[in-house]
Amino acid sequence: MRAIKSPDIRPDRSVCRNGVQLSDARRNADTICQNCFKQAPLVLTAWLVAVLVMAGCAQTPAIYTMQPEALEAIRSEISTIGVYISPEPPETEVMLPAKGVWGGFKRGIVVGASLPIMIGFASPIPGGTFLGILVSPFGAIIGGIYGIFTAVPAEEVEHSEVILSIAAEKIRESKLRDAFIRNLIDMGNTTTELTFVDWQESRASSHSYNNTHRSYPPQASIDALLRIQVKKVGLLGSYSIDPPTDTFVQIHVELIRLKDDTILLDEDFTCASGEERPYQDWADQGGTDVIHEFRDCVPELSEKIIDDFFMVYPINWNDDFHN
Amino acid sequence: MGLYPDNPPVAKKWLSLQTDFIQVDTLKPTFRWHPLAIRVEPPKDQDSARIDNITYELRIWRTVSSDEGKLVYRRRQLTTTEHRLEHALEYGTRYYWSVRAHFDIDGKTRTTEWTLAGYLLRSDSVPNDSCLRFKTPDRPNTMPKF
Repeated sequence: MRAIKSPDIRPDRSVCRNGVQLSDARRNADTICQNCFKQAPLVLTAWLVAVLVMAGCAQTPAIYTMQPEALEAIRSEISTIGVYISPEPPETEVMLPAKGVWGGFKRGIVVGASLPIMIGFASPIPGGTFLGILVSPFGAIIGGIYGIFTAVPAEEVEHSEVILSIAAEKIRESKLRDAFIRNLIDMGNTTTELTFVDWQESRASSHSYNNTHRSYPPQASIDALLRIQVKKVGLLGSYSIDPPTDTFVQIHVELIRLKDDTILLDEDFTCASGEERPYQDWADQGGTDVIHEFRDCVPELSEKIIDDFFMVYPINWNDDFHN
Repeated sequence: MGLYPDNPPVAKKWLSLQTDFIQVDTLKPTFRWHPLAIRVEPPKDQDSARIDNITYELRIWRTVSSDEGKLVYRRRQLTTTEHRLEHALEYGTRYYWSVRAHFDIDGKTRTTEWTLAGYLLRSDSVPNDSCLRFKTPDRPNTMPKF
Protein backbone atom coordinates (compact mmCIF):
# COMPACT_ATOMS: atom_id res chain seq x y z
CA MET A 1 0.00 0.00 0.00
CA ARG A 2 1.23 3.46 -0.79
CA ALA A 3 0.15 6.72 0.74
CA ILE A 4 -0.88 9.58 -1.52
CA LYS A 5 -1.86 13.16 -0.85
CA SER A 6 -5.16 13.65 -2.59
CA PRO A 7 -7.12 11.38 -4.87
CA ASP A 8 -8.36 14.18 -7.07
CA ILE A 9 -5.25 16.20 -7.73
CA ARG A 10 -2.66 13.52 -7.40
CA PRO A 11 -0.31 13.61 -10.37
CA ASP A 12 -0.32 10.62 -12.62
CA ARG A 13 2.32 8.07 -11.94
CA SER A 14 4.12 6.93 -14.99
CA VAL A 15 5.28 3.62 -13.67
CA CYS A 16 6.46 1.03 -16.12
CA ARG A 17 3.30 -0.77 -17.04
CA ASN A 18 3.39 -3.49 -19.58
CA GLY A 19 -0.15 -3.47 -20.84
CA VAL A 20 0.44 -1.52 -23.99
CA GLN A 21 3.74 -3.16 -24.77
CA LEU A 22 2.12 -6.48 -24.23
CA SER A 23 -0.73 -5.63 -26.55
CA ASP A 24 1.68 -4.34 -29.16
CA ALA A 25 3.54 -7.57 -28.98
CA ARG A 26 0.39 -9.63 -29.21
CA ARG A 27 -0.74 -7.73 -32.23
CA ASN A 28 2.65 -8.14 -33.80
CA ALA A 29 2.40 -11.83 -33.20
CA ASP A 30 -1.10 -12.15 -34.58
CA THR A 31 -0.03 -10.48 -37.78
CA ILE A 32 1.90 -13.65 -38.52
CA CYS A 33 -1.16 -15.69 -39.28
CA GLN A 34 -2.84 -13.18 -41.54
CA ASN A 35 -0.02 -12.06 -43.76
CA CYS A 36 2.41 -14.90 -43.79
CA PHE A 37 2.25 -15.42 -47.52
CA LYS A 38 2.45 -11.76 -48.41
CA GLN A 39 5.03 -10.49 -45.97
CA ALA A 40 7.05 -13.45 -44.80
CA PRO A 41 10.23 -11.53 -43.90
CA LEU A 42 8.34 -8.82 -42.10
CA VAL A 43 6.32 -11.43 -40.30
CA LEU A 44 9.46 -13.11 -39.05
CA THR A 45 10.69 -9.79 -37.71
CA ALA A 46 7.39 -9.17 -36.01
CA TRP A 47 7.45 -12.61 -34.46
CA LEU A 48 10.95 -12.16 -33.13
CA VAL A 49 10.10 -8.76 -31.73
CA ALA A 50 6.95 -10.16 -30.19
CA VAL A 51 8.75 -13.01 -28.48
CA LEU A 52 11.49 -10.74 -27.16
CA VAL A 53 9.07 -8.11 -25.93
CA MET A 54 6.75 -10.64 -24.37
CA ALA A 55 9.58 -12.35 -22.58
CA GLY A 56 10.24 -9.11 -20.76
CA CYS A 57 6.73 -7.81 -20.49
CA ALA A 58 4.49 -10.65 -19.36
CA GLN A 59 2.05 -9.15 -16.93
CA THR A 60 -0.49 -10.58 -14.58
CA PRO A 61 -2.72 -8.29 -12.58
CA ALA A 62 -1.46 -8.20 -9.00
CA ILE A 63 -4.94 -9.07 -7.80
CA TYR A 64 -4.64 -12.56 -9.32
CA THR A 65 -1.47 -13.35 -7.44
CA MET A 66 -2.40 -11.86 -4.07
CA GLN A 67 -3.07 -14.04 -1.10
CA PRO A 68 -6.86 -14.41 -0.93
CA GLU A 69 -6.89 -13.45 2.74
CA ALA A 70 -5.02 -10.20 2.00
CA LEU A 71 -7.33 -9.30 -0.86
CA GLU A 72 -10.45 -10.13 1.14
CA ALA A 73 -9.14 -8.06 4.05
CA ILE A 74 -8.91 -5.05 1.73
CA ARG A 75 -12.38 -5.69 0.33
CA SER A 76 -13.87 -6.06 3.78
CA GLU A 77 -12.80 -2.53 4.69
CA ILE A 78 -15.08 -0.85 2.19
CA SER A 79 -18.80 -0.60 1.70
CA THR A 80 -19.52 2.58 -0.26
CA ILE A 81 -17.41 3.50 -3.25
CA GLY A 82 -17.29 6.73 -5.18
CA VAL A 83 -16.60 6.33 -8.88
CA TYR A 84 -14.53 8.98 -10.58
CA ILE A 85 -13.11 9.10 -14.09
CA SER A 86 -10.45 11.66 -14.74
CA PRO A 87 -11.51 14.13 -17.45
CA GLU A 88 -7.95 14.40 -18.76
CA PRO A 89 -7.85 13.49 -22.45
CA PRO A 90 -5.98 10.27 -23.12
CA GLU A 91 -2.83 9.99 -25.14
CA THR A 92 -3.48 8.86 -28.71
CA GLU A 93 -1.35 6.30 -30.49
CA VAL A 94 -2.03 5.31 -34.09
CA MET A 95 0.06 3.05 -36.28
CA LEU A 96 -0.33 4.59 -39.71
CA PRO A 97 0.57 2.78 -42.92
CA ALA A 98 3.59 4.02 -44.82
CA LYS A 99 2.42 6.97 -46.94
CA GLY A 100 3.07 6.68 -50.64
CA VAL A 101 6.18 5.54 -52.51
CA TRP A 102 8.61 7.59 -50.44
CA GLY A 103 7.04 6.51 -47.14
CA GLY A 104 7.04 2.88 -48.25
CA PHE A 105 10.66 3.13 -49.31
CA LYS A 106 11.74 4.58 -45.96
CA ARG A 107 9.81 2.09 -43.88
CA GLY A 108 10.95 -0.77 -46.09
CA ILE A 109 14.57 0.23 -45.49
CA VAL A 110 14.09 0.27 -41.71
CA VAL A 111 12.32 -3.08 -41.63
CA GLY A 112 14.65 -4.65 -44.19
CA ALA A 113 17.77 -3.47 -42.37
CA SER A 114 16.60 -4.61 -38.96
CA LEU A 115 15.40 -8.03 -40.09
CA PRO A 116 18.81 -9.74 -40.53
CA ILE A 117 20.07 -8.23 -37.28
CA MET A 118 17.05 -9.55 -35.41
CA ILE A 119 17.43 -12.98 -36.96
CA GLY A 120 21.14 -13.00 -36.17
CA PHE A 121 20.51 -11.91 -32.61
CA ALA A 122 17.88 -14.59 -32.06
CA SER A 123 19.76 -17.39 -33.81
CA PRO A 124 22.01 -19.79 -31.88
CA ILE A 125 24.85 -19.28 -34.41
CA PRO A 126 27.95 -17.77 -32.78
CA GLY A 127 28.45 -14.24 -34.12
CA GLY A 128 24.90 -14.25 -35.50
CA THR A 129 24.35 -10.61 -34.68
CA PHE A 130 27.58 -9.63 -36.45
CA LEU A 131 26.57 -11.63 -39.52
CA GLY A 132 23.18 -9.93 -39.39
CA ILE A 133 24.86 -6.51 -39.39
CA LEU A 134 26.87 -7.51 -42.47
CA VAL A 135 23.77 -8.62 -44.34
CA SER A 136 21.73 -5.66 -43.11
CA PRO A 137 22.53 -3.25 -46.02
CA PHE A 138 21.26 -5.81 -48.55
CA GLY A 139 18.12 -6.27 -46.47
CA ALA A 140 17.64 -2.51 -46.48
CA ILE A 141 17.78 -2.37 -50.28
CA ILE A 142 15.35 -5.26 -50.70
CA GLY A 143 13.05 -3.79 -48.04
CA GLY A 144 13.12 -0.37 -49.70
CA ILE A 145 12.17 -1.82 -53.08
CA TYR A 146 9.46 -3.91 -51.45
CA GLY A 147 8.15 -0.79 -49.71
CA ILE A 148 7.98 1.18 -52.97
CA PHE A 149 5.74 -1.41 -54.58
CA THR A 150 3.48 -2.20 -51.64
CA ALA A 151 2.94 1.19 -49.98
CA VAL A 152 -0.53 2.68 -49.78
CA PRO A 153 -1.00 5.88 -51.83
CA ALA A 154 -0.47 8.93 -49.62
CA GLU A 155 -3.83 10.46 -50.61
CA GLU A 156 -5.64 7.34 -49.51
CA VAL A 157 -3.97 7.38 -46.09
CA GLU A 158 -4.62 11.10 -45.65
CA HIS A 159 -8.26 10.67 -46.62
CA SER A 160 -8.62 7.94 -43.99
CA GLU A 161 -6.92 10.18 -41.43
CA VAL A 162 -9.50 12.91 -42.01
CA ILE A 163 -12.41 10.48 -41.68
CA LEU A 164 -11.01 8.92 -38.52
CA SER A 165 -10.37 12.32 -36.93
CA ILE A 166 -14.04 13.13 -37.53
CA ALA A 167 -14.97 9.78 -35.96
CA ALA A 168 -12.74 10.61 -32.97
CA GLU A 169 -14.59 13.90 -32.55
CA LYS A 170 -17.91 12.04 -32.60
CA ILE A 171 -16.61 9.75 -29.85
CA ARG A 172 -15.63 12.77 -27.75
CA GLU A 173 -19.04 14.36 -28.28
CA SER A 174 -20.88 11.18 -27.37
CA LYS A 175 -19.93 11.63 -23.68
CA LEU A 176 -18.52 8.16 -23.27
CA ARG A 177 -17.04 9.24 -19.94
CA ASP A 178 -20.51 9.77 -18.45
CA ALA A 179 -21.70 6.48 -19.92
CA PHE A 180 -18.68 4.73 -18.43
CA ILE A 181 -19.42 6.11 -14.95
CA ARG A 182 -23.11 5.14 -15.18
CA ASN A 183 -22.24 1.69 -16.46
CA LEU A 184 -19.71 1.08 -13.70
CA ILE A 185 -22.12 2.20 -10.99
CA ASP A 186 -24.94 0.05 -12.36
CA MET A 187 -22.71 -2.98 -12.75
CA GLY A 188 -21.17 -2.56 -9.30
CA ASN A 189 -24.52 -2.16 -7.58
CA THR A 190 -25.99 -5.12 -9.48
CA THR A 191 -23.22 -7.65 -9.11
CA THR A 192 -21.68 -6.84 -5.72
CA GLU A 193 -22.99 -6.26 -2.23
CA LEU A 194 -21.27 -2.88 -2.16
CA THR A 195 -22.74 0.53 -2.93
CA PHE A 196 -21.34 2.47 -5.87
CA VAL A 197 -22.07 6.17 -6.34
CA ASP A 198 -20.96 8.95 -8.63
CA TRP A 199 -18.16 10.72 -6.78
CA GLN A 200 -18.82 14.10 -8.31
CA GLU A 201 -22.57 13.89 -7.82
CA SER A 202 -22.12 12.98 -4.18
CA ARG A 203 -19.72 15.87 -3.73
CA ALA A 204 -22.26 18.23 -5.25
CA SER A 205 -24.94 16.87 -2.93
CA SER A 206 -22.68 17.37 0.10
CA HIS A 207 -21.98 20.98 -0.82
CA SER A 208 -25.49 22.00 -1.81
CA TYR A 209 -28.12 23.16 0.68
CA ASN A 210 -30.82 22.88 -1.96
CA ASN A 211 -29.98 19.27 -2.43
CA THR A 212 -31.08 18.02 -5.81
CA HIS A 213 -29.05 14.84 -5.48
CA ARG A 214 -30.91 13.22 -2.63
CA SER A 215 -30.27 9.75 -3.93
CA TYR A 216 -26.58 10.14 -3.24
CA PRO A 217 -25.09 9.69 0.18
CA PRO A 218 -22.98 12.53 1.55
CA GLN A 219 -19.38 12.26 0.57
CA ALA A 220 -18.39 11.65 4.19
CA SER A 221 -20.06 8.22 4.07
CA ILE A 222 -17.99 7.12 1.09
CA ASP A 223 -15.07 5.09 2.32
CA ALA A 224 -13.24 4.41 -0.92
CA LEU A 225 -12.71 6.07 -4.26
CA LEU A 226 -12.47 4.14 -7.51
CA ARG A 227 -10.39 6.46 -9.66
CA ILE A 228 -10.04 5.69 -13.33
CA GLN A 229 -7.90 7.35 -15.90
CA VAL A 230 -8.13 6.58 -19.59
CA LYS A 231 -4.44 6.58 -20.41
CA LYS A 232 -4.20 5.71 -24.06
CA VAL A 233 -6.46 5.06 -27.02
CA GLY A 234 -5.81 4.40 -30.67
CA LEU A 235 -5.01 1.87 -33.35
CA LEU A 236 -2.12 -0.48 -32.83
CA GLY A 237 -0.33 -2.83 -35.16
CA SER A 238 3.10 -4.07 -36.06
CA TYR A 239 5.65 -1.82 -37.74
CA SER A 240 5.26 -2.80 -41.38
CA ILE A 241 4.31 -1.18 -44.69
CA ASP A 242 0.53 -1.46 -44.29
CA PRO A 243 -0.04 -3.04 -40.89
CA PRO A 244 -3.35 -4.50 -39.81
CA THR A 245 -4.39 -2.64 -36.69
CA ASP A 246 -6.95 -3.02 -33.96
CA THR A 247 -8.49 -0.44 -31.69
CA PHE A 248 -7.46 -0.32 -28.06
CA VAL A 249 -8.27 1.58 -24.88
CA GLN A 250 -5.91 1.40 -21.94
CA ILE A 251 -7.00 2.53 -18.48
CA HIS A 252 -5.41 2.82 -15.07
CA VAL A 253 -7.62 2.07 -12.08
CA GLU A 254 -6.97 2.76 -8.41
CA LEU A 255 -9.00 1.92 -5.35
CA ILE A 256 -8.18 4.54 -2.73
CA ARG A 257 -9.09 4.38 0.96
CA LEU A 258 -10.28 7.88 1.74
CA LYS A 259 -9.61 8.04 5.46
CA ASP A 260 -5.86 8.08 4.86
CA ASP A 261 -5.61 8.47 1.05
CA THR A 262 -3.97 5.09 0.64
CA ILE A 263 -4.05 3.20 -2.63
CA LEU A 264 -5.40 -0.21 -1.74
CA LEU A 265 -5.31 -1.69 -5.24
CA ASP A 266 -4.23 -0.44 -8.63
CA GLU A 267 -4.15 -2.06 -12.05
CA ASP A 268 -3.86 -1.31 -15.75
CA PHE A 269 -6.53 -2.81 -17.97
CA THR A 270 -6.86 -2.89 -21.75
CA CYS A 271 -9.80 -3.35 -24.06
CA ALA A 272 -8.91 -4.27 -27.63
CA SER A 273 -11.12 -4.83 -30.63
CA GLY A 274 -9.71 -8.27 -31.30
CA GLU A 275 -10.28 -7.73 -34.99
CA GLU A 276 -7.39 -6.48 -37.03
CA ARG A 277 -8.02 -4.42 -40.13
CA PRO A 278 -5.91 -2.23 -42.38
CA TYR A 279 -6.01 1.41 -41.36
CA GLN A 280 -8.07 2.40 -44.41
CA ASP A 281 -10.73 -0.20 -43.58
CA TRP A 282 -11.36 1.40 -40.19
CA ALA A 283 -12.25 4.59 -42.07
CA ASP A 284 -14.96 2.88 -44.13
CA GLN A 285 -18.52 4.10 -43.61
CA GLY A 286 -17.34 7.21 -41.83
CA GLY A 287 -15.41 5.29 -39.21
CA THR A 288 -18.56 3.87 -37.62
CA ASP A 289 -16.83 0.62 -36.73
CA VAL A 290 -14.19 2.51 -34.75
CA ILE A 291 -16.95 4.31 -32.86
CA HIS A 292 -18.69 0.97 -32.16
CA GLU A 293 -15.46 -0.60 -30.94
CA PHE A 294 -14.82 2.18 -28.43
CA ARG A 295 -18.44 2.07 -27.25
CA ASP A 296 -18.20 -1.69 -26.81
CA CYS A 297 -15.24 -1.15 -24.50
CA VAL A 298 -17.39 0.71 -21.94
CA PRO A 299 -19.31 -2.34 -20.63
CA GLU A 300 -16.32 -4.65 -21.14
CA LEU A 301 -13.99 -2.49 -19.07
CA SER A 302 -16.68 -1.83 -16.45
CA GLU A 303 -17.09 -5.54 -15.95
CA LYS A 304 -13.33 -6.09 -15.84
CA ILE A 305 -12.96 -3.47 -13.10
CA ILE A 306 -15.85 -4.73 -10.99
CA ASP A 307 -14.80 -8.36 -11.39
CA ASP A 308 -11.12 -7.96 -10.68
CA PHE A 309 -11.33 -5.40 -7.89
CA PHE A 310 -14.34 -6.77 -6.05
CA MET A 311 -15.34 -10.27 -7.18
CA VAL A 312 -12.49 -12.45 -8.39
CA TYR A 313 -11.11 -14.83 -5.80
CA PRO A 314 -7.43 -15.38 -6.56
CA ILE A 315 -6.71 -19.04 -7.18
CA ASN A 316 -3.39 -20.68 -7.87
CA TRP A 317 -4.40 -22.70 -10.92
CA ASN A 318 -1.15 -24.61 -10.94
CA ASP A 319 -1.74 -26.26 -7.62
CA ASP A 320 -2.43 -29.97 -7.16
CA PHE A 321 -6.15 -29.46 -6.98
CA HIS A 322 -6.45 -28.13 -10.48
CA ASN A 323 -6.52 -30.71 -13.22
CA MET B 1 -5.78 -20.45 -16.72
CA GLY B 2 -9.11 -20.79 -14.99
CA LEU B 3 -11.42 -23.78 -15.23
CA TYR B 4 -9.87 -26.44 -17.43
CA PRO B 5 -11.76 -26.85 -20.72
CA ASP B 6 -12.55 -30.36 -21.97
CA ASN B 7 -14.64 -29.70 -25.04
CA PRO B 8 -14.03 -28.17 -27.48
CA PRO B 9 -10.43 -29.07 -26.67
CA VAL B 10 -7.55 -26.62 -26.68
CA ALA B 11 -4.82 -26.99 -29.31
CA LYS B 12 -1.94 -24.74 -30.20
CA LYS B 13 0.59 -24.77 -33.01
CA TRP B 14 4.24 -24.71 -32.05
CA LEU B 15 5.05 -21.19 -33.25
CA SER B 16 1.71 -19.63 -32.50
CA LEU B 17 1.13 -17.55 -29.42
CA GLN B 18 -2.59 -18.18 -29.40
CA THR B 19 -4.64 -21.34 -29.63
CA ASP B 20 -6.24 -22.75 -32.77
CA PHE B 21 -9.87 -22.42 -33.74
CA ILE B 22 -11.06 -25.98 -33.18
CA GLN B 23 -13.58 -27.20 -35.73
CA VAL B 24 -16.78 -28.47 -34.10
CA ASP B 25 -19.14 -30.73 -36.03
CA THR B 26 -22.43 -29.10 -35.17
CA LEU B 27 -23.96 -25.66 -34.80
CA LYS B 28 -25.07 -26.62 -31.31
CA PRO B 29 -21.86 -27.93 -29.78
CA THR B 30 -21.62 -29.22 -26.24
CA PHE B 31 -19.22 -27.42 -23.96
CA ARG B 32 -17.53 -29.22 -21.08
CA TRP B 33 -15.07 -28.12 -18.44
CA HIS B 34 -13.59 -29.41 -15.22
CA PRO B 35 -15.40 -28.57 -12.01
CA LEU B 36 -14.09 -25.95 -9.64
CA ALA B 37 -11.83 -27.71 -7.17
CA ILE B 38 -9.90 -25.43 -4.88
CA ARG B 39 -8.47 -25.64 -1.42
CA VAL B 40 -8.80 -22.51 0.66
CA GLU B 41 -7.28 -21.69 3.99
CA PRO B 42 -9.97 -21.43 6.66
CA PRO B 43 -10.28 -18.26 8.72
CA LYS B 44 -8.32 -18.41 11.98
CA ASP B 45 -11.44 -18.84 14.07
CA GLN B 46 -12.89 -21.65 11.94
CA ASP B 47 -11.92 -25.21 11.19
CA SER B 48 -12.72 -25.00 7.50
CA ALA B 49 -13.64 -22.45 4.87
CA ARG B 50 -17.05 -23.03 3.35
CA ILE B 51 -17.53 -22.98 -0.40
CA ASP B 52 -21.17 -23.22 -1.41
CA ASN B 53 -23.46 -22.61 -4.32
CA ILE B 54 -21.00 -23.27 -7.10
CA THR B 55 -22.51 -22.36 -10.46
CA TYR B 56 -20.94 -21.76 -13.84
CA GLU B 57 -21.25 -19.05 -16.43
CA LEU B 58 -20.61 -19.70 -20.11
CA ARG B 59 -20.17 -17.04 -22.76
CA ILE B 60 -19.63 -17.24 -26.50
CA TRP B 61 -18.58 -14.34 -28.66
CA ARG B 62 -18.38 -14.04 -32.41
CA THR B 63 -14.86 -13.00 -33.33
CA VAL B 64 -15.90 -10.44 -35.91
CA SER B 65 -17.84 -7.54 -34.50
CA SER B 66 -20.99 -6.25 -36.08
CA ASP B 67 -23.92 -4.05 -35.17
CA GLU B 68 -25.49 -7.03 -33.44
CA GLY B 69 -22.68 -7.13 -30.93
CA LYS B 70 -20.00 -9.66 -30.16
CA LEU B 71 -21.66 -11.61 -27.35
CA VAL B 72 -23.91 -14.20 -28.97
CA TYR B 73 -24.59 -16.62 -26.13
CA ARG B 74 -24.59 -16.37 -22.36
CA ARG B 75 -25.81 -18.75 -19.70
CA ARG B 76 -25.45 -18.23 -15.97
CA GLN B 77 -26.40 -20.39 -13.01
CA LEU B 78 -25.32 -23.58 -14.76
CA THR B 79 -25.10 -26.24 -12.09
CA THR B 80 -23.29 -28.84 -14.17
CA THR B 81 -19.98 -28.70 -15.99
CA GLU B 82 -21.53 -29.37 -19.37
CA HIS B 83 -23.84 -27.39 -21.57
CA ARG B 84 -25.27 -27.98 -25.03
CA LEU B 85 -26.20 -24.80 -26.82
CA GLU B 86 -29.92 -24.15 -26.91
CA HIS B 87 -29.86 -22.30 -30.19
CA ALA B 88 -27.75 -22.78 -33.26
CA LEU B 89 -24.72 -20.71 -34.11
CA GLU B 90 -23.90 -19.55 -37.62
CA TYR B 91 -22.25 -21.71 -40.24
CA GLY B 92 -18.57 -21.21 -41.00
CA THR B 93 -17.93 -18.71 -38.22
CA ARG B 94 -15.11 -18.36 -35.73
CA TYR B 95 -16.02 -17.92 -32.08
CA TYR B 96 -14.41 -17.30 -28.74
CA TRP B 97 -15.74 -18.97 -25.64
CA SER B 98 -14.94 -18.94 -21.96
CA VAL B 99 -16.33 -20.15 -18.68
CA ARG B 100 -16.00 -19.15 -15.05
CA ALA B 101 -17.37 -20.27 -11.72
CA HIS B 102 -19.44 -18.28 -9.27
CA PHE B 103 -19.45 -19.44 -5.67
CA ASP B 104 -20.01 -18.35 -2.10
CA ILE B 105 -17.08 -18.49 0.23
CA ASP B 106 -17.77 -17.79 3.89
CA GLY B 107 -20.94 -16.00 2.91
CA LYS B 108 -19.43 -13.77 0.23
CA THR B 109 -20.16 -14.23 -3.47
CA ARG B 110 -17.00 -14.56 -5.51
CA THR B 111 -15.99 -15.67 -9.00
CA THR B 112 -13.02 -17.25 -10.67
CA GLU B 113 -11.29 -15.44 -13.49
CA TRP B 114 -12.34 -16.32 -17.03
CA THR B 115 -10.72 -19.37 -18.56
CA LEU B 116 -7.95 -18.32 -20.93
CA ALA B 117 -5.37 -20.24 -22.95
CA GLY B 118 -2.30 -19.58 -25.09
CA TYR B 119 -0.54 -16.34 -24.37
CA LEU B 120 -2.52 -15.04 -21.42
CA LEU B 121 -3.96 -11.56 -21.72
CA ARG B 122 -5.13 -11.42 -18.12
CA SER B 123 -5.13 -7.61 -18.05
CA ASP B 124 -7.45 -7.37 -21.04
CA SER B 125 -11.20 -7.31 -20.77
CA VAL B 126 -13.05 -10.29 -22.23
CA PRO B 127 -13.48 -11.20 -24.97
CA ASN B 128 -9.83 -11.11 -25.94
CA ASP B 129 -7.44 -13.17 -28.04
CA SER B 130 -6.68 -15.51 -25.13
CA CYS B 131 -10.25 -16.78 -24.94
CA LEU B 132 -10.85 -20.38 -25.99
CA ARG B 133 -11.54 -20.80 -29.69
CA PHE B 134 -13.69 -22.87 -32.00
CA LYS B 135 -15.22 -22.62 -35.43
CA THR B 136 -18.47 -23.96 -36.78
CA PRO B 137 -18.75 -26.17 -39.89
CA ASP B 138 -19.22 -24.57 -43.28
CA ARG B 139 -22.70 -24.52 -44.74
CA PRO B 140 -23.27 -27.84 -46.53
CA ASN B 141 -23.54 -27.71 -50.29
CA THR B 142 -27.24 -28.10 -51.04
CA MET B 143 -26.93 -28.12 -54.83
CA PRO B 144 -28.56 -31.25 -56.25
CA LYS B 145 -26.24 -33.76 -57.88
CA PHE B 146 -26.95 -34.75 -61.47
